[in-house]
Amino acid sequence: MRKLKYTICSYIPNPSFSSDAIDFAVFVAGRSDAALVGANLSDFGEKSNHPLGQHVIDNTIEIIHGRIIEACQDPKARSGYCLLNHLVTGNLSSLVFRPIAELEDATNTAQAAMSLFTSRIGGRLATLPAETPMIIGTGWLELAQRDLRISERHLVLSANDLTDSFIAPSCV
Amino acid sequence: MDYDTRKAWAEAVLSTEEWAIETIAARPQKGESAGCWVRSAQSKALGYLKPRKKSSGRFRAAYEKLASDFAFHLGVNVPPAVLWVRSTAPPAEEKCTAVSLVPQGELYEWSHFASVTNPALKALLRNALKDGSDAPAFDAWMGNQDRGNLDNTLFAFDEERPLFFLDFSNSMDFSGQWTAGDHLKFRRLGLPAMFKESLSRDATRGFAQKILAFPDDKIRGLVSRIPHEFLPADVGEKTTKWLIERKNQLYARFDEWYP
Repeated sequence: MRKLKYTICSYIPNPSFSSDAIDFAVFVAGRSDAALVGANLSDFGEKSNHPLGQHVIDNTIEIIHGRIIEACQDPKARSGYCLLNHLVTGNLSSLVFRPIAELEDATNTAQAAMSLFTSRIGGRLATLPAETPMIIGTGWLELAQRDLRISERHLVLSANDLTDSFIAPSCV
Repeated sequence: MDYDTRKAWAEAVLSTEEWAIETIAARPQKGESAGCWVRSAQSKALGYLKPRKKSSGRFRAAYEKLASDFAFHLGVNVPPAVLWVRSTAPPAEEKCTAVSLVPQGELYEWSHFASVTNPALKALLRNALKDGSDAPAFDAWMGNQDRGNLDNTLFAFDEERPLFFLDFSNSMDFSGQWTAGDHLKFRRLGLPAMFKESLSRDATRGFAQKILAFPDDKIRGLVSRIPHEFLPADVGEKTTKWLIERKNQLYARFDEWYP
């Protein structure tokens, strides 16, 4: 049985005041692959008082994706688990990564990520207007000469691209 | 983070509060010191604790406290810190720690702005960075070689000065280089490109002059109050001497370290 590990990506608007968090993405890691599924914080109706903060709110998935790419470039990255560990090491900002958990019975990394997203996070998107864009980023990793690389199959989809196979009926 | 709060933290040496690790965020699996957020059971303040990993022969917590105290007196935007004996630390983890106060509001890192292309946003970023022109002089004095690390600077836009400088555990004699005779060596500072481009050379030079005027007795006093379990007495004495000697050469050797 493949062992998959994951973290929930969350946003804490004012960590020093409260630990109240908004979950916005899921990152699932296997031995040789990983998947990120999530939506920008702006898709959840979040706003920042500062223009640079708003940049983060509007580009959250791209930022998290960039951090994963950075982790892939670390020569010590040997598996999806390494990427997960890299990701959760930087818990200094309002974008935090929740404690790593395990999925025992999942077999497909991307499907597991999508399933976690729809069951734990995606439901909140149902309250948003139908035309609100939702971004899904999924990265597949390939082991080649002991190096991990993100392949070209990085997807960026809009809400219109989502089908029932991806989003449970209760979420759309 | 008002002045009175900073002052109270800077004046305190050992925290009397009980700090508990925040469970919402994963504890780092790697990283040199594996720091993490902690919250006070009494004041509910949020702090950043480090080191969590043991590092024998290194005085990370003491360096964090000393740097934050010097920064307070000089006006560099380093979060105030206190020392804390983590008596509940598991055997594999460090008991002698420092807790830095976490700034208010949304907190962002360098990497979050890597994709900024909008000229107006870039200008805002550069203004925030320019305000940190004092930090390179402070880093040079402290022998801090870690400012090129993108995780060591935090943006908190709800604060009066949004750019905060973190992490001084890789400063002073952290790897024995001052003990080995290099305490008067000034390395050119490595900074992220956008920070380097935004600096005011005059402001950095002016701040080096301010450090030069920092009283020797103040340095002695701040180092000597660090408990010996955090910084052994002989190490404290040597650290004081080295810091005073570096301070006295910092301004004159500006061209050696300015990035």
